[in-house]
Order: sequence, then C-alpha cells, then structure tokens
Amino acid sequence: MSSDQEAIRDIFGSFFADRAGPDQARAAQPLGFDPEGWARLGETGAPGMGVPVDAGGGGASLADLVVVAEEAGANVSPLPLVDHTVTARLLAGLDAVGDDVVSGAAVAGLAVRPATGGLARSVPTGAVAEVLVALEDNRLVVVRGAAPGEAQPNHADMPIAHRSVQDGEVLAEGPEAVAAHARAVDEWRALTGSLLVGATRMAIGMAVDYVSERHQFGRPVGSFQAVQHGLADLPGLCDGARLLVAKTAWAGDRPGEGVADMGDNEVTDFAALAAMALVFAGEAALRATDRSLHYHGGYGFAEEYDIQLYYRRVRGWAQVLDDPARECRRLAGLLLNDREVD
Amino acid sequence: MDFALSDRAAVFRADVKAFLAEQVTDEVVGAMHESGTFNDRGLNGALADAGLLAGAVPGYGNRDPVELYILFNELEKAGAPYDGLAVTMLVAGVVHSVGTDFHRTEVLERLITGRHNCCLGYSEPDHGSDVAAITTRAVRDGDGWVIDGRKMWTTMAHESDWVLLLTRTDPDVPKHKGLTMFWIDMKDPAVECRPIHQMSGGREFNEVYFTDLRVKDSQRLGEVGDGWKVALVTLMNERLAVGGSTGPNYREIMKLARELSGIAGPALKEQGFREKLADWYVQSEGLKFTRFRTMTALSRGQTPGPESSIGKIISANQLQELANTAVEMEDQYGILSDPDVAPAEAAFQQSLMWAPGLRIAGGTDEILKNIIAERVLGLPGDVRVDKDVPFKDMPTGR
Repeated sequence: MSSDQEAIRDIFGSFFADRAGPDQARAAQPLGFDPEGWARLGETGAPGMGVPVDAGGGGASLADLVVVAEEAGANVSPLPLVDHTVTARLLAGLDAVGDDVVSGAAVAGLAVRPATGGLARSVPTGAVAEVLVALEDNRLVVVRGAAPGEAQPNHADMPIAHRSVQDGEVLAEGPEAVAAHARAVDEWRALTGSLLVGATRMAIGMAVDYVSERHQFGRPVGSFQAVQHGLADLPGLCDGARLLVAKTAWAGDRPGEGVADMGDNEVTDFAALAAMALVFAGEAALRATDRSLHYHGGYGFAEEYDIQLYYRRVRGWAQVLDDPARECRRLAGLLLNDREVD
Repeated sequence: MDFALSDRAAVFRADVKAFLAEQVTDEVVGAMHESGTFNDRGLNGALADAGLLAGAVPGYGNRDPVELYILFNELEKAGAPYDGLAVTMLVAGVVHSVGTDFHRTEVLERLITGRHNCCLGYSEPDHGSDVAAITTRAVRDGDGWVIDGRKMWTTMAHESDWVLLLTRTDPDVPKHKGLTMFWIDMKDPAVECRPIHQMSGGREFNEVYFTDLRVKDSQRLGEVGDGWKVALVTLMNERLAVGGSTGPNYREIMKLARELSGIAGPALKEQGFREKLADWYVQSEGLKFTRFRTMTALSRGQTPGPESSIGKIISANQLQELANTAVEMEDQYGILSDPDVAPAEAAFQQSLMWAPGLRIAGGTDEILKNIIAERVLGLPGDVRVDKDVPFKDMPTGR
C-alpha cells in the first residue's frame, strides 16, 4: 500500500467510523441509507473520486477505491458508495456523467443484472438511486428521477428494489453497451469484495476483543484453545481476500492486458479476478461473521450487539448479484475457457 | 436390533399426524410468525385433551418415551409452534423425576393439561457456559427463602406461569455443590421479565429479575445443595429435545428446490444440489438412530447420557448449513425477509437468522464437545482451577 493509500485509508476510516458506522446503520434500518451521512460524504469528494479528472472527478484508480470500500465495509456504512462509484465511472466512460452524480447530489445506481420487460429486478440501490443505469436487450439505458425510497424488506438492510427502466434514455447499443455494463459489474464485484473484506476484518477484531474480555470458568474465553483455533482460521482468510481484491484492482487499472490461464497458474484477467475476489471475499466474510457471532455467545444473537449487523449485512452483499455457487460455475468457465473440457 | 416402531408407537404417530393435520391451521402458523413467539396455548391444550401430551414427559406413567420424540418430530414437520411446549415438557420431566407428591400435584398435573407453561432460569448475564458459577442467591429466612438475582436468555419466560430457578444457597462450598433449585411463580410482583430483542426478529428470550422474592421451602425442588444434579437432568433432556425437534424440514427444501430454476431446470435436478441433499439426509438418518438409542435407554428408566449432546451439535450446525445453501440458491431473492415475497415464505431466511442461536442455547458447540470428549470418549479433563475452591473464594465468585 502506498503512503497515499494509507492516508486515504486513515481519512475514510475515521469518516465512516464517526459519521456512517454501526450506529448510523442501525438508525437507517430498514432502508439502509442515511441521507445525512451521504451529504457529509459528498463534502469529502468521495462520490466523484473514481470519475476521471477530465469529467470533473478525482481521477482515482480502482486500487485507491478498494481502500475506501474496505473502510466502508468495516463500518457497515449505510451509504451506497460502491454502486454510485461504478455507475459514475460507467457514465463517465460514455460522456454521460453529470455534475449532480460527480458531486453526489444525485445518488447513482446500477442494475447489476440485465433488465427484462422494462423491469430491473432487485437493484441493490433501487430504493435510493436517482440516476439508474440498466442493460436491456443489448441497450444501455439511464433513468433519471426521484427514487421510490422504500426497499423490499430484507435481512441485510439493503435498499433493494425493483425499478422500471421503460422509456430510459439510451446511452449505448450493441457490443459497446454490453461491454460497458460488464466492465461496471466487474468493478462492482471488486469493490463489493472489498466491502466484504472490511466487514471480515472488523468481525475478527470484535471477536478478539470480546473473548479477551469475557470470562467463564475463571479465565478469559479467548484463552480456551477451542475458541483460539476457531479464530485462528480467520486472519489468513481476511488477508488472502484483501490481496486478491488488491490484485483485481491492479488488473482493472490496466484494461485489456490480462490472461486467464489456470494451467500456467497465471490469472491477470480483470473479469476472472473480479469473480474470484467476490467469491472468496464472500466466503471469508460469511465464515468470519458466523464465527465471531458464535464466540459472542448469546450476546452475538442479541440485537444490541453490533456483530449481528455484520452477520446480516455480508449475507446481502455476497449474494445480491447471484447465488455464489452459480458465480463459481461462471468463474470456472472464465478460468477454464472450457479448453480442458472438450 | 429392531428399527421398526412398536405397534403402539406407530398408532401414536398416526394419531399425532391426524391431530396436527387438523389443528395446525394457517391461522396458528400465521400468529406464530406475527408474534415471533413459538407457543400456542390453544394448541397445547388441545394436544393434552387428545391425550397426546402425557407421553411427552420423560419417565411419566407407563408410556413409551419414544412418544416424546414422535410428538416433537411431527410438530416440527407440521411447522407448528412448539418451543414453549418443549421447555414445559422438560420441566414436567424433571418435576416427575425429583419432585415431591406436592410438586407432582401442584406442578406436573397442571403442566400436562397444556394450559400452563414453565421456563428454565439457569443462565445469567455473566454465567452462560459456566452456568455452575451463577450468583443468584437464595438465603434462608425462617421457614422459607429470600431470592435475589438476575437471569438471562430465559426462553419463553414471558409466556410462562412458573420458572424453575437455579440459585446459590451455599457460597462456602465449591461452585457445583452450593446450588439449589426452586419452582417460582412468575406472577409474583418480585419477579420482573424484560424482553431481549434478537437478530432473528423473534421473541423467545428474556431477562428476568428477582428482587427480594420470598418463597416457601415447599417450593424447593430436590435437596438443598442438589441443584446442579437437578439442572443436569433438564440440560440433557434439553439437548435431546433441541437435537431432534429442530432438524431440517425436508418437505420444505424439496418444495423449494422444485420451484427454483437453475441452469439445467429445477434445482432439484442439479447434480451439485442433489449430492448435498443426499449427504444431509444421510446425516439426519444417523442422528435419528442415535436418538432412538437414547430413547430406548430412557424407556428402560435410565437418564439421558452425555451422548445426547452429539445430536444437538450435529442438528444445529446442519440446520445452519442447509439454510445457508437454500438461501443462496434463491440468489438475490434469498436476501428478502418478507414472507409474502421471499421464496418458501422466507422460511429459510428465518432459519439462517435463528440457527446461530441454536448453536448457543442449551450448551454451546464447544461445551458440548467438551462433554463428548471427556464423558463419551473418556479423555482427560481440562484443568479446572476452580473445581475444589469454595465459591466465595473464586475470582469471579460473589
């Protein structure tokens, strides 16, 4: 991590912890969006940070953006920064990003799966996106206007909603539209992977704190090896996921150069890495939050402790795109290129 | 070995099935999900009136204890609210095994009418896994006792008429030896019950406060100083009940897998899923037989042994894994928690949020593994620094 990235980590780490952390996430239930926090985040320039400089943004690389996302995830922030960022970058690539999106005055969101029949289903930020981009029938469309403000009830407290994309303005058509959408979804995978890494990191930290403090049988619970070994499985998962996310971002900052050659143990292709990052970070987060909650004993299960927020939230991030098993099968196709199968 | 149910047990199963098909209506299930409280006194009373409850009390009368298993297994399969009933029947079992004639008349006979609930007051805020270190005090006062303290995670306390309360009566002896059990009226003004809000949105657990509560000596269950022994009977029974009645609902998962479409048609036809399903079923079947064996021991008048811990570990973890797989199969809809929108009425979402609690309640996975290691396998025990230390001299004792 460069010293610039360390500075980004520290600045946004403090911002999310103070302005958009677990307390705000609780207050924002069930919608999962805190407008006040979003306005404050806008003052930092974060909503346009990933937009190229010539489009009025901060020109940050994916490698920088995953650092911000990890801090957002570590604080279960009720802010749609990842979805906004990838949508803003997608719009900028098509010369269609407005000042309202760059500044964050309007929340931008992406339908991560193609729309059908004029309807984008279960859009991760569907309840709050005022500028919504979707792909339907190889056409990339944007819909602008007020967001419904009401989510489908979900255990991850995400602003998920179906959205109509009928009569949307067409941004691109054909292969260009498909490629732009695919690229944005891959960036979404990388950044969501980083959210999951942040949540994993924090879940481990909370467990370590709790078992160091809680005593049973006259000893800290964390002094029992059964508990130690359960926790010892986790830091490797967290670091591995973080490194994979970092490599994905690195590859994403160098478009068009990657390879995916499993036989040669060489994968630098952005799409393959993005799928790997999401799958692995998802698994790590599910395991870490489960163990952490368990080692909190009954308190982990109680509403008043924060670990349950993490347990629930990561189970949304990890599968709002698709069933992880299906994502794995898709990844197998990318890695194998099906050359070994025939 | 005979793996078939006895004729009598088979008749009992058929009776329970027929009864539940009629009684567990959409209204009963709806009220359960609405309130988050898995107890229905109307249903409990009707079960008792139909003569189906008495057999669910371990060791009571001359009924076959396998009836307990059959009853809760069928309640589970029918999707009925039974958590309150399960705890009540555990208490009935312990009253039957250690109570006086007075307790049998006052408590047991009323519990098996299905019109009353009783809960277990064991865990405290600072003493969960180490439940023998509880600090709720009972002090002699003339003919009776005065009780002060606070209990935590008390399942169904808010639905209960009574609580079976584990107290410390002698701080001068080691922790396991100074405990005594009482049967307490929850309606006493000295008892206050507060809800614990759960991640799952349900309403099962409570905090219960006892302040200057005065009770008669006749409310004591078992001898003074024998509280740990009494508690162990219920703990083993609890693990048995939790271990069996909350197993996977295969009818639900098969229905879901038929409805969800994968790449090659319904998930039920996907090889990866079929492999998992068969694997789970094999585990469940192994578990069922382990439980039958324990039931057989019970029917011969033995108390359930440490092996009942095995079932609880396996079933709670399996429930979580199965719920996880089911919810993932539902892809983006697996996140939704609204029963009107989510697949399978959000049943698996509920399980996913509830299963972590099952892995804690009635003994954590780790405590149960300690029991299996030390008492089933006979491995050397962990160092127990406080085993022979008088409770008052323990670092955490009070």
